[in-house]
This record gives sequence, structure tokens and C-alpha cells, in this order.
Amino acid sequence: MRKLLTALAAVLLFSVQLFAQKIITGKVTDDKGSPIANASVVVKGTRVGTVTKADGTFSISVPANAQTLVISSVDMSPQEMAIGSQSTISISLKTDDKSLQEVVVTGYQTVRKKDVASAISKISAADIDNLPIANFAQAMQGRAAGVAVSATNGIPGGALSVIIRGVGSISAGTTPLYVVDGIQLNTSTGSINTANNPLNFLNPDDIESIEILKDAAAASIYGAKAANGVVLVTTKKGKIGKTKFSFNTYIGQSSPLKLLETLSSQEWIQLRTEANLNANPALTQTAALTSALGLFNLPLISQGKIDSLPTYDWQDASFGKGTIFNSEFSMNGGNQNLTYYLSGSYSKQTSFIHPTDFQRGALLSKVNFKINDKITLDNNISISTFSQNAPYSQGNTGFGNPAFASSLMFPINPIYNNDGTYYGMPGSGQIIAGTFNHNILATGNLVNYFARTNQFVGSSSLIYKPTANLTLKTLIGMDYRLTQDHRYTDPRVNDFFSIGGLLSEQSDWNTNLISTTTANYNKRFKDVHNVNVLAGVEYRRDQNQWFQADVQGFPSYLLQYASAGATGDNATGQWTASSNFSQFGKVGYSFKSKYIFNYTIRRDGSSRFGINNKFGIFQSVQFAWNVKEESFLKNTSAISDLKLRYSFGQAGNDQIPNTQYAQLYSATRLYGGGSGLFPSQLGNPDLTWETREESNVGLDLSLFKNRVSLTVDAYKKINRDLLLARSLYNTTGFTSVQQNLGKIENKGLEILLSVTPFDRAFKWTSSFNIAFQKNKVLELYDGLPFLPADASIRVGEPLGAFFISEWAGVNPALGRGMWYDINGNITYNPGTADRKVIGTIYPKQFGGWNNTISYKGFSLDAFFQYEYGRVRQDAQFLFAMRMTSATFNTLQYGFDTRWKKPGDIVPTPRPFTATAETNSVSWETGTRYYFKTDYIRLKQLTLAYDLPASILKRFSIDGVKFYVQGLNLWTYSKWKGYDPEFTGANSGIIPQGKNTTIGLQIRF
Amino acid sequence: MKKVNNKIILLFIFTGVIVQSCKKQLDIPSRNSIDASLALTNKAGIENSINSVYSILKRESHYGRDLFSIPEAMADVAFANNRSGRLINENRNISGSNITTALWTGSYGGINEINLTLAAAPGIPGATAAEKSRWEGELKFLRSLLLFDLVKNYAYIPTFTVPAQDKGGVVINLQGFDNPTAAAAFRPSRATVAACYAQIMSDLYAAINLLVSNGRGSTGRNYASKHAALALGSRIKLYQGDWVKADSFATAAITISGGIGAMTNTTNYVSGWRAADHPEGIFQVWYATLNENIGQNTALSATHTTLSAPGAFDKTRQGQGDLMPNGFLLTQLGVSGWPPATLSFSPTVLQPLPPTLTYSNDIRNRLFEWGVNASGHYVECTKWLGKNGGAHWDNVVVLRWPELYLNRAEAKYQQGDQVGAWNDLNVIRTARYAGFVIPVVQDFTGTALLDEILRQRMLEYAFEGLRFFDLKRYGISITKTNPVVNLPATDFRLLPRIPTGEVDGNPNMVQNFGY
Repeated sequence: MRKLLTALAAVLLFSVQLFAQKIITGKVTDDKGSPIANASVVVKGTRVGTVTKADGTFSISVPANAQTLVISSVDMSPQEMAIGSQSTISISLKTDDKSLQEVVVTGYQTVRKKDVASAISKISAADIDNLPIANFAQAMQGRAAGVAVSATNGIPGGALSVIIRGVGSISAGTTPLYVVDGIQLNTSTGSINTANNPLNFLNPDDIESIEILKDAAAASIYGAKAANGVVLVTTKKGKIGKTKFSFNTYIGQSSPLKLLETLSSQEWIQLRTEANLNANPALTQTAALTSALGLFNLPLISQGKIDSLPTYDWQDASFGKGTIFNSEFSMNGGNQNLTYYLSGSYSKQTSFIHPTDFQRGALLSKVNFKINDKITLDNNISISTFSQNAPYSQGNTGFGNPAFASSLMFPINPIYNNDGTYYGMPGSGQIIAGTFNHNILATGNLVNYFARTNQFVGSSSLIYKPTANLTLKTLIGMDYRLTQDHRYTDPRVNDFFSIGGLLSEQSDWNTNLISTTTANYNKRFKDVHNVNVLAGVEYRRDQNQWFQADVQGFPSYLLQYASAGATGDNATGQWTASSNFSQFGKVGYSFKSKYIFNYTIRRDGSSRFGINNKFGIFQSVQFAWNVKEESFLKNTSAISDLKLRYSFGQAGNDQIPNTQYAQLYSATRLYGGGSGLFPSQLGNPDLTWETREESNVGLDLSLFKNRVSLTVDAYKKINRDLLLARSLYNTTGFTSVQQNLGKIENKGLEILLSVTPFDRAFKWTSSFNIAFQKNKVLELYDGLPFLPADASIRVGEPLGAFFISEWAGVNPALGRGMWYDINGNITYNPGTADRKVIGTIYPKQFGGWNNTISYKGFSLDAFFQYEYGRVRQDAQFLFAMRMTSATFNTLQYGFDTRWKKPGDIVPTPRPFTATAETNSVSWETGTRYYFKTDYIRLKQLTLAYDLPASILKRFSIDGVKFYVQGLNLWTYSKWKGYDPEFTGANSGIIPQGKNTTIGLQIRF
Repeated sequence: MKKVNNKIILLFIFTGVIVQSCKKQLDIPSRNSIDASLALTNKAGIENSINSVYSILKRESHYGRDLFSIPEAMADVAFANNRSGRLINENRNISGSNITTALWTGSYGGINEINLTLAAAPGIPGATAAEKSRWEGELKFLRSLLLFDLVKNYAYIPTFTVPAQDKGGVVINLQGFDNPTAAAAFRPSRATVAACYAQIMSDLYAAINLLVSNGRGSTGRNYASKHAALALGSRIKLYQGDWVKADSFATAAITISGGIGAMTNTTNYVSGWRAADHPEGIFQVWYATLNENIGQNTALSATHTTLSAPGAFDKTRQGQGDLMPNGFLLTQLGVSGWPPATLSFSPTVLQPLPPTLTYSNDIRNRLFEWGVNASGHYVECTKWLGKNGGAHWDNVVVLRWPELYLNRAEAKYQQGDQVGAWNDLNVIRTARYAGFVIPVVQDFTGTALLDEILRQRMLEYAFEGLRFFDLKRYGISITKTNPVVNLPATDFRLLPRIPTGEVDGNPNMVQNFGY
């Protein structure tokens, strides 16, 4: 050892002797003259270097023959400085020109934005900072052209639908692949009943950037899992330098966007009396009134007494105010060898409909350690626990569900007794009149539906750089999730009074392992040829197991766990797993950064497919031409950037349940205490991927020093070999078999335009995006014009189309509802032959518009989101428009716009005490309750104030920001129900609400 | 330094090797289901697959509700009160509101399972001849019952056909499908009604020969038995108009030794209906555990009553109570005191309790009483009331003793034996009318006798799914005043639509008339 040290010393001395030294001192400042600390000062071509002190000064000893210093700092453009004979050097660095240096994460790689040749959208931390949202997918809404994000409902932390560039699958999944710091997430929600979103584990404020790989060429490197696009999430990292702290908190409240106006007790009686007379003209007025009053459990009373009947507003009582609280703390820093980022956060949101809420505690720890010059260890750990109190029933028509029932409860029913207890509880002898006979406020308070998820997402990577050009990396990661669902229905609640309460306990484990090994080689030849080669292998295994047990018969509502129940009446559970094994590679070449060519290939094997077709190969080619680099544009100052792109790629979809290829017998039936074993599935050894092939042409244009920038992408994609259940004649004993059949086409255009009209002390940046989308079924199987199992899936028509008969309004002479038959004639009895394609559930155009205005310390963000061309049934409206024919309340709208006398031209037919007029179909037939969901929404409005740096400096504080923020403050829509933003059916869902928060952020 | 590098490079290689060896792991078979080739290879496999066929009968689409409640809603004895909106359209005999696709799908699923199991059963190692006989007998009984329930619904009944509208029976499939190619190529056609009945009887004769009188013994009425096969045979023959055989099957079932169950009388009739196992039951669908019940929306108890117990009209509502006896049935049953116009009573401050009902000496009407106030009180049928010991948990009796006498009475009448018919009618009347004395002089003759036999069937089997088929097989029009319906037996709505997906794309398949 000693010898070694001596030798080393000798070598060092020798070096010193060989190269005479020279001391250079200086100062590094920014363009405003403020000193820059921790800037790196390096002699070009050597490893000799230092960093600046807090006052920006440095002192470096350089070899006598050193020519140039390279000075660089975070967020600044590196600058080179000829040394010459100087011994003091002062340098002012310019803020980084982001458009040139911006990098984009592309999957297993990071490349300069300039070298991107496919369609990738990027969302940066600044765009989504401090939004009171539960997960990052929500943050993508309206911010990436062509990415349609819609909330299923307004439950905090609830499910979201994310569809990238339209739907290409009929029965396989449409969810994109989410990759967080290299770990592919398992997004299946398992068997849990509660609204559950596996993306909730991550605090969105820990995100550095989100890249969305939109076209098949960009996604192709992810092969069989990429057909629905890929969302790459990169979390924040530690930066070299002094430890920085950041504290951020916000608090606020949420409230409903709107309530539906319903009838008073008097109006209801009036309308029902009218309906009785319409249905049975032989009735006397008194008989019709008596019958109406009877439904309120009232005898025939005088008009005076009717006028004094009370009206209770159940909706107002159910829709209250919710709260929002979030607090987070992070620190990061490091030195040359080690950087770290640590963040902890707690967040709680309650819905405006009790008792729904969302709570999360999350910890993110990232450590990057340089073991030596060549080897780096990267450790990321995210631990979180999030929980939700769920509504009694969500998104359905449960009688005890306030979101559904509160607008339908009879207004005559009191809510509370005089002593403050709930009115109409089972066993009290009090009766709640009408179909909705539960005290929904009591139900909400008494049930305890609680789901808690504990999630761990972590990875360790070793990065080995044997030479400057080659990087080898192995990542081993895990995504582990346990969700426990405890659903206790109180024995005092109507539905479970008779059985003494019901407890359902469920646990769902997801264990997802991933291992990725890549080699990345980068080399520049003769300063003009840039070659980049990537090769990798990957293995992923996902496993899910769940268990559920139900217990009923609790002696008291105070006893809420299984041991106290009388009867265990259901115990069930399952196990399932899938695995993927893949090899992939990429070759990239660019000539003078002018001509860019990329080729990717991936071979994927999956356990989900039949023995004959377990492996698939997916390839892509990408070309880009940086026209700006050509000599004829080089000196055109108006054009700061111009790039043309073309790509073609393939990707696969494997989102079907495991083991669908197998021929199986299941034992889920029961008879006489024994299991029933039955053939549950016909096998298909040929079952394989659904393949998406897509061509994309793109244009990136920036003008006037990036004051105007435009990105346009047009694409055409075809999904073929769709994973589809081929219908069988049921007389075979089976209804379907999984096969690869059919073709679907999506075409679209995406435009992103960003302008900065003012760019001085007063700065305004406006960014607008819009996506046009067209979807068409090209082919099914056996030449079928439509799918036997679903007549709305038709060749030549879009997916998600409605195939129903068309409502023709109200007959002005009779007040009856009318429909069109297939020939466009009026009919009261439209049949199956009268159905036609009307609208689709996917928007034709959608996007967002963001404006950022800043002046001195103030900044204002206004973000609008819109969609157009989507049609949905308004099921909540449907129920509320029964016009007293059912024993629940009705909308004021219906009352006001109903037909009363011949000649009335109105949208609402006469009330009629039946599910249909005589010799006619039901009110709900056809398009009557289908409406456009078109809306424009001020999704986010933020006003922030940053305290001036000059004041803060005295207290050694880097930044203090105050902000107020509102979500969904304004909406333009003609939708009649609660809110147009939902997926699935809207009856009984908690609608979107309005959030207002105030916040404080301190960096020091 | 070099050492660290070497170690790390080794680690890379090591990881690569692990990953490569994972290739085998692309084979992950299901652990919730077993491969088809292993299912029917031992005794347990066969026994469990027979359980599966029985379990189909438990479904809502079968004896869980539909085979009883939908025909009753369509016939002339019921009123759907729109409490939950269920069965309203069936009650109004709206086109398309009839038995559901699930009956078709579930029954053919069961038939395919039977076919596969019948093919596998003879080769099971270690099975005794008695076991093999029981397997084959039970499976053939079940295939007979499933096919009969299909053909009686989807086709005309042989005793009354409208020839111009007759599109045949249903599909007879005796082949077990176990591969996707054959299944995708299958283009079945409807057999004639006669061929269907021939197949049904061929299975039934086999079951009679293979099964012992009381089937599985102590749990006999829950499974197929010779007794059940004979009783079913008498019903099928009645539908076929084969009066001689209907008579002899009924006689064989009545006189069987070691059979199952017995008639109740006026003293134990009501308690018979309150017992989990009805003493008159010859074959019932068994809901062995509480969680097998169909639930608070569509179980038979939920469909027909709001009551949680007899007399509990002032207690908490338990079921939906969607399908009520109409005024006609209540009158025929001898119940009075209910409001004739609306059938419902809404309590008021002045009159908080429903009026007292009065009952005739027909003991069967004791199963009809005021329900809970839910948009008013209705008189409800309490044949299913959670009698197994939990809410909505009831065994469902498919074949019951009185039918044997009623079948035989009708068969004898049709053969011209009016005295024999009257004698069997009197067995029923004695068992049901308190203090009934057989008249010295025969009180019904000619068509009046047949009418009385059919009337007794209606009263005896109210809400048990026979009435609609009695009307259908005699071509009697369905007449109701509330809702107003006048449906001649020639109306196309008597037969349901063949599920559209079964007809589309299959040139061999014929849709029913009018759809």
C-alpha cells in the first residue's frame, strides 16, 4: 500500500513537473450580474476543474498549455473562454436557451429535443405545480394534444380514463403504459370495489416531467405493451450544491358546480294529478288528486292544506362543502459524488358529498451515488399509503346513494326529526314516501366503506460507463401494492336492517417485478456523423392475488369487525400472474444534426398468449430533417427552428385477462354444498397480440426567437388482429371464443401553438392545443356488417357509436312523444329496424388553452380545457324526467316545459302515469336523453405572487410564493345533468366539483 | 478500483443470465381453473360437473325467478305494480317482453355440459355400475327438463298450434363442444316440435329406467329421481296431448313405492309452505346456503312480497313486491276486503292500517295477505318468504304432488273418463277446502268439469309458472282488466323472440313469427 502511494505521489509530481502550472482567478455571474455559486469551471479536454464559491469567485490552477476554460452551471448555457495570457477572468453566463438544450425522455434513453423524430408530448413540472389533484394523469388533462383524459366522476382520487390518439381496441384494454423512473406500473385495479386509482401513489409535485409517447414509432420500443401509447414519468432529482429545502402547503374547499332544480311538494302533486288524468281521462279531478296525495301518504285534503305542505330540499342537504389540504416538504442537494432528493407529503381532500374522501401520505427518496468514475448507483424509493372513504354506492342507482337519490327524494319527506335525529329510519315506524325510501343522509353517515392502499415502488440501478461512449445499465424494480377494502354496512341502514348489517373484507395484492438491462453507445465521427446504438433485455412479472370474506348479522352497529358477525356467508379469492420477456434495440444516426434516422426493434414474449404465438416483433423507423440547419435557412433570423418528421411504427396490445388462450373448466358454481365444475372457456392456441401500425408526419416550427412555436402532427393508425370475443351460437354451450379478428382505423391531427406576445417585465405566454380525431371500424369477421354481440359496433362506423332510434320531439296536437322510423316518418313504436348510428362517446375535437401572464412578482395562469362532439346519455336527467310517472321527484325543467294544451310546441311530453303512453314505447327509448357533452371549462386559474429576491436575501431565503387557485371555476355547457365531464354512466356518480385553494411555497 | 469494476461487470452478466433463464416463465397456467383435459377424468370431476348443471336451475333466468314469475306476469292472474319497474312490460304483454335470452344461453350451456359429461362418464376409473347409472339418469333427466323448458316457451305446445305461424321447435344438440373450430362452424337449425318432444321423452325414459324411486335417498327431492322423472313425464305428456300416457305417468308417480313427499291437507297446507323443504315436493331446486339466494331485487320472495314474515305488514320492507295477484285471482281465491280499483291501500292519518281481509274456506288463500306499505299496501303472495332461514333464501319446488292429480284429472277428462277426472279433482278439493264434503252427485260435467280442473290448477299453482302454459296449450286468450290486455292465442307475442344473435348470420335458423 505504502509503495502504491509513493508511486502515485511520484506520478502526480511528475505530472506537475511536466506541465507548468498557472493560477487563474475570476468570478462567474448571471446576465443580471448576480454571482452564480457552484458553477463548474473546467479546463477543456481535461479533468482539471473547480466550482465557484457562494460569491461566484473561483481560483483554479491550470496547466501552462491550457487553452480554454469551460464554465457551466445548471440552467445556464455553458460558455467557453480562451485563457490567453489572462490571469483573471470574469464571465457572465446566459440563461439556457431551452429550445436548444431541452431534452426529452424517450424510453430507456434521453435525447435532445432536436433529435426527436416521433410524436412526443412533454409536460414539465412548472405546468402542473401545486394543482390540488390526486394523481399525475389528471395533470395531463388538456395539456397534451391528442391525449384525452377524463375523470370517471368527481370522487377525489377516483378513476380516470386516459386515451391517447383514439380507441383502437374493441375488447382489449385502452390504458396506456405508465413508466415511472423506469418501472412499468401495473394499473389493474384488481378486484377492489372502491374507486381506486393505482396512479395515486405519487405526489404530482414530485414530478420533474411527463413525456407522452403518442405515435406507434415512439412507443414501439415498449413493444407489446405500447399500443395505447406510453406515459413516461420522471421524478425530481437531487442537484449538486448546497442542500435546498422547499416547503409547500395549500388549503381550500370544494363545492358542487350545480344543483338540479326540482319540484316542490305542491308542484309534484299538481303534476301527478295531471298525469293521472292524462292516463285515465275517466277519472274525476278529485280521484286523480286523491291518488296523487296517496303517494305522499296523505289523505284527500283541501287546497289550502296542500298549499301549506312543506318542501324539504334533500339535494341541498346532501351536497355540502368539501375540504382540501396538502402539505409537503422536500430537500435536495449533494456533491460531486452523491446527490439526493427527499420529499414527504400529506394530502387530504374530502368531497362535497359526505363521507367520500381521499388521503395520502407519501415519501419519495432518491439517492444517486458515484461509486467511482465509471460506476454509479441510483436508488429510488417511493413509499405511500393512501386511503379513501367511499360513498355507499358509487356510479349506480342505489337507493341509498345521495348523488343519485337526493334529486329524486320526495320533497314531502322530512330529513330530520325535531330532536335532530334522522327521520324515517328502519324500525322507527316513520315511513319515507316514494321509491327512494332511505334516509340518504343517514346512510352516508352510517356506512363505513374504507379502502386503504399501501404501495411501494422502488428501484436500484447500476450504471457502468467503461468508456465515455458506452453506458451499461441494469435496473431492478418493484411495484408492490396492497389494497384493503373494509366495507361495513351498518345494521341501521335500510338495505341491511333485515340481515343485521353486512361486512365485506377484501385484500388485494399486486406484486410487479421488473428487470431491465441496457447498453447504450454514443459516438460522434468526424464531427458530422452521430451514431447511437441501444440494446436491452427486459423481464417483467405481474402477480395479483385477492381474498374476500363477507360476514353478516351484527348485534350492534358498534361492532364492525368479522369476529362479531353471526354468519360468514361468502369467502372467495383468486390468483393470477403474467410475465413478459423482451429484447429490444435501437440504431440512431444523425448527420450534422440535419438528417436524423432512427430504427427500433423489440421482440416480446408474453405468458398471455397461445403456445403457437407467444412471441411478436415490433419495429419502427423515424426520419427527421432539421431544415433550419440547412445553409439556406441558417441565416434567416425570423425562423428559429424548422423540423420535418416522418415515422412509421408497430406496437402491440396485450391487455386481456391472463390465460384466455387456455381451454378451461372452472368451479365457481355451487349446488347442494358441492362445487359445480363446468367448461368455462374454449381455448385458442393461436391467440396473440393486437397490432397497431401507425404513420405520423410532423412539423416543428419556431419563429422570432421562439416567440411563436408550432407543432403539428398528423397520423393514421390501424389496429389489426383485434383481441375480440368471437360470438358463437349459444346452442354450442358457449357464447364466445377469444380470437384475433378485425381492424380499426384512427386518423387525426394535433396542433400545438404557443406564442409569447410580450416578453419583457410584462410577459404573456399563450399556448393552445387541439386534436381532431376520427375513428372507424374497418372490418370485423366473416364479412359481418356488425358485431353479433353488440349491434352498435358496425363496419364503417366509429367505435363508441350509439345505435338507437331517433327522438322526434313532442306531438303538438296530442302531447305524446314521437320517434322517427328508419324512413324518417313519425312513429310511436320505433322498433329494432328503426335504429341508426347517432353520435359517439368519444369527442371529435378536444384540447386546452393555457395563458401565463407575469409582471414583476405576480403571475396569473388561466388554463381552459374543452371538448366537442361527444354524446352521452344523461341518465341522471332521465331518472329526474319521469314526470311523476314514477314515485320520485322530477325536474323543474320538465314541469316548466311540458305539453299542456294542443298547439304547445315544447320539448317535454305531457305527464302520463305509466312507463309509456298507451300503444307507445317507453319514454327512455332512443335518443331522447342523449345529449352532446360539449364544454369549455376554466379548468385552472392561479394567481401567484413571488416576494422579491432582494428582500428574501436578507433572510437567506430563495423564494416565497403566495398563490390562490381555483379549479373548474367556470364552465360553458348545455348539459342538463350535474356535469358533462364523466365517463361511463352518470347516474349516481359524484359529479365534478369546484375547488378553491390558497397556498404558500417557501424555498430556502 | 479494477476489482470493483470486475465485480460490477459480473453482476451485469449474472443479471442477464437470470433474465435469460426466465424464458420458461412465460408459461403461467391458471390456478383458478383447470385445464379442460383434466376436468372429467375422475369421479369427483363427474359429480361436480353434475352439480354445475343443477346450479343452472338456481339462476334468476331459470327457477330462481323467470320460469315462474315471467309466465305469471304474462298470464291473466297477476298485476305488476311498478314498485321497482320490474315485470311491468311482461304484465302488459309488450312485444319483446317475455322469457329472456339468459334462459336460452343458460339451458344450452347446461345441455352442452351434459353432453360432455355423458361422453366422459362411462370411462371413469373406479366408478361402480350404480354410480354410472345414477350419473346417466340424472344427466338425462336434466337434459329432458332443460329442453322441455326451452320448447314450451320458444315454440307452440302440440295441443295448440297456429300452423301459419309455427316456425318449429328449438335446437336439439346432443354433441359436446370442446373445441373452438367445431363451435365456430356450428350452424344449427330448429328441430320440429315433435322431434323435440321425442328427444325429451327419450331422455326421460332413460332416466326412469336408470334412477331409483327416491333418487339420492335422504336428499332425494333436491336431485333427479325416478319419482321426479315420472311426475315430469305426466306434465310433458299433458302438453303433448298424449292423454293416455299422461294418465299412466301420473298414476305411476302416485302409486310409486319408496317415492318422495306426499299431499298436504287443510291443516298442514300453510305449514308446508313455511318449511324449507315443502312436504309435497318431488323435485326442488336447492339453495343450500344463504349466499346462494338471488337477493333483494329478483329472488322469488323479493319479486312477490315486501314482507319479512307473515303478518309483518307494519314492519320493515324486505323485498321489492313487484308482482301481485290481480283482482281476478284474489276473487277466485276467495279473498276480499281489498280496494278493487287500485288493489292498493295507502294509509292516512284517518285510517293508518289496511282494512281486514276476509278469507273463504279455501286454505290456499291464507298465503295471500297485506304487504308492507311501499307506495301503498298490496295483497301479496307469501309462498316464498325466506323459509330456509334467511332473507330471500327459499328452495324452489319444481314438481309438487297436487299436479299429479290435476294432470291425471285432465288426462282422464280428455279420454272421456269424467268420473275418474272428477274423483281426482275431489282429491284436490278435499285437501284444500276446509270442511269440503264430496257431493253425492257429480257437481261438474262436460266442459264445466275441464274448466274447474284448469281453475284448480290456477289456484293451486298461483305464481308457480303453470297458468300461462295452461292458457297457451288450450289456445285461450289472455284477458286482463288492469292493465287492459286482450291477447288472442293467435297473437305472435305468445312466443318470445329467438335471441337475435342466434339467428343473425345463420341461414339455417328461423326467427319466430312476428319478430
